[in-house]
Amino acid sequence: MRHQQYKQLISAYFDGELSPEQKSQLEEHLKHCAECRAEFQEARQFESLMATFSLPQPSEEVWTMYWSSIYNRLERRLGWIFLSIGAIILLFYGAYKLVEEIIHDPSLPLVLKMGILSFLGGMVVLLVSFLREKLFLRQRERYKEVEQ
Amino acid sequence: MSKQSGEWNQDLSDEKAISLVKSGHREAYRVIVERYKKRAYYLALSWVKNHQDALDLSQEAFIHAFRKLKKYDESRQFFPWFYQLLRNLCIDFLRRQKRVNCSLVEFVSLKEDPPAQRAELSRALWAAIDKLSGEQREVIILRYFQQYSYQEIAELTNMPIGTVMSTLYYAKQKLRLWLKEAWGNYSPSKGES
Repeated sequence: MRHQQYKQLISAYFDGELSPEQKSQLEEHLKHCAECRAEFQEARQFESLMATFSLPQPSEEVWTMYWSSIYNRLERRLGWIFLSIGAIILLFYGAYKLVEEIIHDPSLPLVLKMGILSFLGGMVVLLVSFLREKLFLRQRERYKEVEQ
Repeated sequence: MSKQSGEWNQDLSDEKAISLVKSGHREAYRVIVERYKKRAYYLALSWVKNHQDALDLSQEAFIHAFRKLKKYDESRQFFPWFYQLLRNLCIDFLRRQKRVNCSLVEFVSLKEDPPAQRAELSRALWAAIDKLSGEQREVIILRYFQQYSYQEIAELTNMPIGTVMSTLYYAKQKLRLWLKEAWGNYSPSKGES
């Protein structure tokens, strides 16, 4: 085994992850290797330092309100879903009525009718395209490892 | 879903709580949230390095998990499955942000009020952790601040145990080097006043 491998064992030793056999192997090696003994001492110093740190605690209020916040977000999202469904139905119904009125209005010139219908048609195409893209993005595996 | 806590015993196993949620007792989900909220928050913090975003993303992950519970295979442990959701949310968040414009150091310095030397050492440590790659920072946080074993880290991150061991080793080597550069001999006693 090379020094590099023993150094990884030293790291795992302080993490309490060595088997009894690996431990004995490492201890035996340390008796004869000054370089790895120095590494062992430095690793010990580092581990002692790390043991004195902990992550800072947010205020207790954060934890108290945690569930309520999740509950509220779930509830609110349900509200948004119903609202969106209602808005889409109203929008399509309104568009349908508008188109119907434009087509059957003899006072409007043909060019204006075509312009309005084209405008509305474009809006529908864009809306469908946007919704399809959103749906497609949701289904795709889009999470890749991000290195910072 | 009930907002009240007392309805389900907090000692319910994950399996039992999830089974209850699936059978329509959605309020049992609170048991899961209460059990894992801190762990979820700190793991999100290790990715996004900002209190408010970590809080939002950890809560969002619980909401996602709640919606996906029907697809959840109960033979698997809950937390590793949940952690994949949380991790993906954090990674996606970072991708949308393009860059992380905050640092763990800012968060730590806001929350801690230790003696000056100790604070300086703390800042040096967090600055060093901040400089690690996402993967290395993740295993350092899991190992040192969540006390996970290599086996558990491997399950959470989908890495082989050997990779966990070497990633931790190289992360520690970097931290030691950067701490030395910033602090010289970083003996814990030096940081205590």
